[in-house]
Amino acid sequence: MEPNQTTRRELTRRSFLGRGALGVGAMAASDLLGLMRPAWAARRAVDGPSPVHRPRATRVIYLALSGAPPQHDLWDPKPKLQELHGTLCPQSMLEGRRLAFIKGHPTLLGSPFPVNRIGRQGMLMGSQMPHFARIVDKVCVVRSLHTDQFNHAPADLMLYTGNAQPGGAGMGAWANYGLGSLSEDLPGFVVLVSGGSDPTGGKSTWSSGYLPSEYQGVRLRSKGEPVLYVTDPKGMDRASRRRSLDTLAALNRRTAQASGDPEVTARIEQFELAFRMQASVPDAVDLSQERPETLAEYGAVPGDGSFAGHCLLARRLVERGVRWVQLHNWGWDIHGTSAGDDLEESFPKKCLEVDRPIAALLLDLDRRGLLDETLVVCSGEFGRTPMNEARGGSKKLGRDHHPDCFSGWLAGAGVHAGMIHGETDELGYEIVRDPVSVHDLQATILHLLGLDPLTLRYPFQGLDQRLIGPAAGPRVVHELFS
Amino acid sequence: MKRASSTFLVFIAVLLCGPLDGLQSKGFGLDSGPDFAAEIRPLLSRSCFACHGPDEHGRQAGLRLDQREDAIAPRRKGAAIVPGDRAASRLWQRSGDAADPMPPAGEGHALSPKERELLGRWIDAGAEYAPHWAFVPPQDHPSPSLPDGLDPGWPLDSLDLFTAAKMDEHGLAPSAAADRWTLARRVSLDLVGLPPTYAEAEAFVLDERPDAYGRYVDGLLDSPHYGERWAATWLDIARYADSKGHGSDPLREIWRYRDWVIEAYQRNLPYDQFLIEQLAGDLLPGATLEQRLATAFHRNTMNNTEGGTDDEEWRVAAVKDRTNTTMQAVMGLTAGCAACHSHKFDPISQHEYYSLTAYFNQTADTDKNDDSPLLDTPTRVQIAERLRLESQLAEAQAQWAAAAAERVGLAAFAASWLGAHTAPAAAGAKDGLEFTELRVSLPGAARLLSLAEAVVLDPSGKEVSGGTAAQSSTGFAGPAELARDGNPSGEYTDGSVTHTLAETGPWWSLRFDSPVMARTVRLHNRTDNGLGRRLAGALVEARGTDGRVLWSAALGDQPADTVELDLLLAAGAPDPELLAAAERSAAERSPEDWRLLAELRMAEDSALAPARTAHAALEEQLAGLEMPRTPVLVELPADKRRTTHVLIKGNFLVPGDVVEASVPAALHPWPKGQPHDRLGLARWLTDARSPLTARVAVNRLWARLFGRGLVATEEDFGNQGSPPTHPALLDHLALGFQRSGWDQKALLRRLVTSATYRQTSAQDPARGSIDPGNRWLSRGPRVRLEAEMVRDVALVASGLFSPTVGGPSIFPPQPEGLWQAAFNGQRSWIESQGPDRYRRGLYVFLRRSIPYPAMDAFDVPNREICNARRIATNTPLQALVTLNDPAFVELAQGLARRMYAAGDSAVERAAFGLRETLVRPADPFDMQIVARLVDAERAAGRSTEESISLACDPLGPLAEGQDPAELAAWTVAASVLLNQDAVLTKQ
Repeated sequence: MEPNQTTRRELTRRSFLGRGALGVGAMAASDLLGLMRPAWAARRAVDGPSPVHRPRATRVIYLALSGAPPQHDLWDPKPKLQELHGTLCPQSMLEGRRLAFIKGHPTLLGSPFPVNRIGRQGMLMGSQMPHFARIVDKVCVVRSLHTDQFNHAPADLMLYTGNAQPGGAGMGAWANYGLGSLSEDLPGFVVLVSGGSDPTGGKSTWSSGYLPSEYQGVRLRSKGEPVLYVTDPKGMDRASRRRSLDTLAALNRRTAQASGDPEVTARIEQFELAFRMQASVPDAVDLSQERPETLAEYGAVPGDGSFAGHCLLARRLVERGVRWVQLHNWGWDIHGTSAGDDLEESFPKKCLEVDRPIAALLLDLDRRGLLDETLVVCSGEFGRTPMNEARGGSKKLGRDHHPDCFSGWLAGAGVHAGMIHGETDELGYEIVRDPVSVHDLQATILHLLGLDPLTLRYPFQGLDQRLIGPAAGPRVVHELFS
Repeated sequence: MKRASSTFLVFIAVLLCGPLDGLQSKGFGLDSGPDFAAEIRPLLSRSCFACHGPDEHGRQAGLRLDQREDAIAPRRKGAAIVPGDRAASRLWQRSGDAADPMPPAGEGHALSPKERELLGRWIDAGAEYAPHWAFVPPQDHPSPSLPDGLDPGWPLDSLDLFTAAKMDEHGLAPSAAADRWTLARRVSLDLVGLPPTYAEAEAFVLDERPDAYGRYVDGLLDSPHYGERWAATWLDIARYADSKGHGSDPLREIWRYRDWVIEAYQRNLPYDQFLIEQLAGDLLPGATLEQRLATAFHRNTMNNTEGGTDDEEWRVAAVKDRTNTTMQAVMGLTAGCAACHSHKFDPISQHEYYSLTAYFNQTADTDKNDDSPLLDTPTRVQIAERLRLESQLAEAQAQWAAAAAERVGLAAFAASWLGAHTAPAAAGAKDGLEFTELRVSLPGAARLLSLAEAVVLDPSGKEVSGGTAAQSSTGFAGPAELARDGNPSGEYTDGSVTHTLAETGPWWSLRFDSPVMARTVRLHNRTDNGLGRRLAGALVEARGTDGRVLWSAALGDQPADTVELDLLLAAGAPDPELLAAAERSAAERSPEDWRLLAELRMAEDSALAPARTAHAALEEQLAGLEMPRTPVLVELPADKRRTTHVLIKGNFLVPGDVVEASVPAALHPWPKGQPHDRLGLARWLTDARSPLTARVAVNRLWARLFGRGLVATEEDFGNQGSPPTHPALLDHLALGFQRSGWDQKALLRRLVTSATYRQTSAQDPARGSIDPGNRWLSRGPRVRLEAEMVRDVALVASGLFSPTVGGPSIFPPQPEGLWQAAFNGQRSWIESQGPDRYRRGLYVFLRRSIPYPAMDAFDVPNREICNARRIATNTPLQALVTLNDPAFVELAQGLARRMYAAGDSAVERAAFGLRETLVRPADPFDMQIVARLVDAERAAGRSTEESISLACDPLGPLAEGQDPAELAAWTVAASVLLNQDAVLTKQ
């Protein structure tokens, strides 16, 4: 019989106190890194899931370009669309469709930017991310992603938690629930937000949902304390904090004895872990420790909270054993309603902001031998239309929301490098080959982590909740693997 | 051989008692097999029902195993279950078929060998089905007899006999009673959510009367803080929040609902009435303001104000959420599954689900950005203040009118007015109008006033600059100045449009320091989303320095994007009737003439300016009165009612069959004579025949006290939930609760005065190895405090606690810039000052997307959906909060000052601190531990500046003559005391 949640929590606590509960996958990773140490929340449920096969990825970096970048101008260029630019779109593209903002009969919008052939295979790609050419042979581009949500908030939740309604658990939470953490002094799921705004899905995007809240994504902030309250009060130094925790532990040990409750000892441990975090978090985020050449390669300036800095920080975090790092960069919602979201004015600036750092991250991970077991994924939450939105007669250029197809890429950790998967029609409106739903993508990521996406579940509200949803259908896209 | 023998036994049983009946066969003491409800159904539900259960669409091979007649029906390859013969049963064969197993590999939840054997034994024993326990109404059970060897004095309530029997069954016996200090703190935290003061606890400890504990409990039940404690538990279920949730998560004013919940608990509103008022208070005959306010319960649904969203989509989402929340909160059922397909585990078909939504599909709210419909919900204090001002206003009006009607003065005024208006035109050869204030107002209730720009042009067409802009209220990031910023854009998103809150008679005004000469007023209206229509019927006035209206014009029903008004056109053309009245001599004037002239005089006579000003000031005061407006349920009129459809796969764009409001057939019958509306539904839910309502409520209170429900899955009493550990006790309590008239205080009293509750929570290894989770209740509860209590306990110890009940949510310190991430304009968290800073946790402002960090860390759900149970965690982030969050540092500083003042020696002071935090006499050894820390801290060599920071930031300066180094050392000690496990835990 399925143990209920309370029982499971009891079991997990005991496991934490007793012997730790590193999963098979976590062990392998620790060996590889020479980091044999107990986990942050070495509290992967003992009776819960465990890796079912040898993992290819032990860590994940998700580069979330929030707002949905225009795939026709980046990873899925369409010469035919450029040819037909400015003409009315075929009527068939409107029938039975529900578009977020487009009214009336829109015209087609060919990418205003040149198209290049890059990489060993001569892949056709947009030209606004020139550094992408340096890494294209390491990535697997998927041109056939699709979702069923076309507003930002539900689409964020769908992609990052598997359910368009709030309440689900983030992928990073699932990964840590399934595998435990590799770090004894850093959270297993870290979130970094740049671009001036949170993703529209907000905090729910990295929530622990129905999973215990210790699996929730911990947001490292760019301004002020990196983790809330990691700094001691003004006037207290480390020695004083040490003394106060020793005193607290002495009092708590007496309580442990009197109550016989193992949870007291667990609490003493959590205070110790907090103490270690007070040193390890500021250390991890201190980019000034990096060599000037490295900073230059990423284009990062310590302390500026930019996406470039976050890419470098992501490398430092996975190096330290953080299992899941999720970078959200807002500003890709290219509607063309004003200069601020115009395809010709705003979009190139966004590309400039992320292009070099992403390439630097991939090359840096590769040089350090981390790319072999770190999966890097990059995508928005849905796609954009090949039609010009022209909201309210706007003269700016931009694309409307489009859930039926979008592009993204994966790299590292057993992913087939230098390949394109899936295909859309000549206008980039519908998928014609090898569709990959966001549930498929999630299943694939879990599989790479050594988990079985079909059986990784958690009982809540009368259902065995899964990242990939309750229904049959999602599949691991084995074709992406090397 | 085994098979033969079990078949034989069944055969005998059939011979003896006719058709096999599970209950009867038990009576024979034969192997009646595993218990279906407790052991078999959960297995079938988990591993089989997803494809072979109630969901007709998901059903595979036309086989259903949730009903016996289907399961045993002959099939081509043999029946799934052949009662009495496991080997002949396809269920047994397939579940053990390595090549082609059931459930299929990778799908569903495989059966362990042990589980399969259990199924086998059940089949052999006759494969009897029984309805799921939770759908059978609670029954009276005789109290079990006292287990052998248990002190007959131990049980204090009949409930103790039920727990004692279960303990005995599992080889356990009750623990000793907790000592009085422990009990005093435990029951106080449980009943009011606050610890007792040391003095209160001591009084109870020293009370030698035999009913001392009962008296102590009664005092707590009567505490003014009782309602707050229980409201905090209900708000998770009600998904209460101070924001709308989706997209940019704009703020929402709905705290009056929170206060309604507090008051409802405080006055011990019977639970059935508590539910009825929240679900359908507006439909009760003669509904009071409070009863209508209660329906804000279902306006806590999230609202989507994101651009480009379809309001209908989110209205439907809210209707589903109301349905799900109702079933979850009242019945403990997870109906939401059936929104997309028939429930796979519980008997709720998709049709039935949408029939349930039909009850909630008839309210007027449609996911509008302003959350309408809103109800004016003044507090009692606000009502009194309004009445006071209204009577003052009436008096001022009467005096003003009397002054104007005074005949001698009025005659003189009429003469001079007549003179002015019949003077030769040359005198009025002005090319403009001189005025001091331009004012735009919107008559009527619940109106929003927005202006893009107000331009004043002088007679030469040049812009008149300057003046001070003001408006009746400001909302949605639209201050009054935006209409004078030189930007005439009417697009709200350009940030150049003023915006008031929704209110009665909002106004915008431009006041110049001295009179200006102008000819034209040009108003630029808001243009986005057709919202320019909001300006319909606006009144534009030019006023003199004394407030006299010199000129006015009303805008039409469809105001243009730009409106130009000529100040000479409408001004000064006197009404012919007035002229005639003024021209008549005093003797000739009719009463009507006098009335007209008096009205004119009220508006225009400069001698009456003081009365006018006084009246206007009162009016303004009245308009400025705070009046919380709360979103509520409003039923649509009969001719506007919506048709409810099944939504295919839950999609609002794909309606299926039309359904009528009704309730699932598997549940109890509809009460006779009730209409099929929300009120009828509320009466059905609280009907005495409901198998679940009382059980769910009783279980919820039990779980808050004991740390775990008798049904551990408080949120799910269905097939997938955990079965009750004490089924008979649950029924016993549920029936008692119903018969008491759903009296929650009485139930709580009964629970906390039981012997089971009063046991010590200390664990011993023997007990721990038999029952680590304390399912069999052989000791008292020991659980981490709920998030609100974590704050409240520290507040009380700090001496800073403000006991004010109710009111708008508060903003205790939180790190700067947290709200900066918000997607819309509402980004500033303005820290509460004064007592508001030190109020209880349940008042802390709760924004769904950016929760208050301390609450978040201690497992407060984000309130997006109904949450019936918090899972308590134990993480390092919690330690960082209680050690370093400035809100907690401040409380440590407060406690440090109290400790310092409490004695002359370190040991005395330490004793005080221990006593105040643990609420028991200090242990000498602990005193030494704390005193040693203070010695070390005193010697730590802090600079004066560091000491002052540690002792005073943020609480404020020390008393004259106090040594910062000393107080800094005590602050460190106080923080340690507040972080003790025994403080963060109820034990």
